[in-house]
Amino acid sequence: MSELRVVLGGVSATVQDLGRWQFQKFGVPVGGAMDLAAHRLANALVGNPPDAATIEIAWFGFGFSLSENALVAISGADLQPTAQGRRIPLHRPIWFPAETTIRFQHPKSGCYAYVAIAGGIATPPMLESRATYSRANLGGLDGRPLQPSDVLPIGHATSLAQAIAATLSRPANPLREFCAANWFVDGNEPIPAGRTVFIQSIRGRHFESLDTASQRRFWNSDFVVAQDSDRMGYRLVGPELSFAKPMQLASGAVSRGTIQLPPLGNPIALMADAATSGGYPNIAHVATTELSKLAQAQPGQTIRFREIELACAQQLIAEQAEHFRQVQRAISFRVVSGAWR
Amino acid sequence: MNAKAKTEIHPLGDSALIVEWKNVSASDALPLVHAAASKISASKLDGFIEAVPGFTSVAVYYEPLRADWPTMNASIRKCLAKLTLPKSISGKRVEIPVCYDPEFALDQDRLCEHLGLPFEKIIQLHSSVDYKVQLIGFAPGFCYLAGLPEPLTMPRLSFPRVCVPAGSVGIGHNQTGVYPFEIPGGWNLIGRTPAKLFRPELSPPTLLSPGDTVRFTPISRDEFTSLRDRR
Repeated sequence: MSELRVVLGGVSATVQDLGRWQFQKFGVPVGGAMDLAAHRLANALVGNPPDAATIEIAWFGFGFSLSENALVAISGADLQPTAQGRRIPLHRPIWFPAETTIRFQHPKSGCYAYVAIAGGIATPPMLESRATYSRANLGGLDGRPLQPSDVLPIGHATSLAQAIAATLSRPANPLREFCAANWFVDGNEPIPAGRTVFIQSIRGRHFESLDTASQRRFWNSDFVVAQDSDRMGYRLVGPELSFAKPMQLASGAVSRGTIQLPPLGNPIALMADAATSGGYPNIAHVATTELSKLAQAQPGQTIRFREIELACAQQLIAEQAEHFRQVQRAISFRVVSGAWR
Repeated sequence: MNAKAKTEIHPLGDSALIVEWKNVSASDALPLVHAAASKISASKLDGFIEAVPGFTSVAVYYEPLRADWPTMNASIRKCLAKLTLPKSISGKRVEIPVCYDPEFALDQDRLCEHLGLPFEKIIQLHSSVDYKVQLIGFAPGFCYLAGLPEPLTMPRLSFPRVCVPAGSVGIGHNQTGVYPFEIPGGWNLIGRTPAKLFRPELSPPTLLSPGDTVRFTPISRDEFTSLRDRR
């Protein structure tokens, strides 16, 4: 079986997929890739189904090699990956000869990069998912971030992946150089660190309990992503927000994207590994289609919320799904028509 | 259904909604919430993903591509229109061994001072009643138990611990519960159990389920070690 060998651990690289659904009633967070759009795109580029497991690389420093020739795609943050002394381009399928070592550096933009390998990472699923949730040692490899000398099994490539690989692995390649497709899928690039990220969001249950000045401030002020933000949540430092009356709530359900406001503090946008319930007021919810953009906002980066209606947020989900179907069609069309390189 | 219980449905972001009951007592809520969650899960509504019980609510996660908010709201309302309730939900009886050693009872002094009771009395009260599992949530296998003796009611810590040791048994206001892992938390720690509350290799993955009855059995420090090493 084809294997991936970790040569450099990095800050935190984990196996992720679309998450662990159906277990929230046992207190298990959904989890999964922080940037689901980048995870899906990387998979599509190597002919994998969207639920195939990828490696999520947070920040920098990860490195790996492959035991066999493999078709790989990297999407999400630009962690300036290199192999054979050359930069590896993002958002496109790449054929790598066996034993190539791929290394990542610090992010040029974004926070989370996704590496999809044709066939997917084939670690054993736990509670029906391969997503790593380290707090409870679930999923991935022994439920923890990857370390040097870890070995990950890779599954069987689809026929689409084999067709893509065939067009890239040229017979006349005596130096066995890696070979990238000459096209890529646009969009999805994280917003550069110096620029403000606009995040479309809908009002939460307790938005109207904020005093009127705070309601205005929420939509019209800059917030900065705090350093201690992680897979559980992004703490957003901004203007003072307060409730018209003190709020005492029983613990209630929350989801990825819920923006909670603790009594003495800054709002927290709950991310992939958020607990299944929380006791703070929900002032807003990030639109599902905006979660990737928020996930890729670096600590120190400025964000601003833009209000949209619930119906609009659901329309955006439909549009994003349609866009993704077009990307999938375009990828298979490139193979069928042989319009490669 | 309880005539006074009023059902409200609110969006929870663009891919989930929350069904809430107002004017429902804690003891009525358990059968109501579980009957509703089971009925919703069994109804195979288009776009339905998952129903998650809360104390007096059920969160429903759905795919807006299959059913948008007005559609899902209407289907859930229809689904819950004729809900038949069991009188109560009966579960299994589980004994959980707890070592109340000062090494584990990290908030012993706080508890004694605030409650005005010697620690022996606190242990005796905590381990002499049956608790009912109200909810599993917050973290994998974390249980909220109702039935804490009134004299043990104790406000949460003003500043939650960054890291509560795995197996810690705590008191938070009028509830008690067990932290299955090392996680941040704000409950007053009274002891520690060697029992494993979350075991993902089994089905169900949690030792306890809502409706179960729990009794804490005091054990010595040596028994704690031997039970922990045996598991």
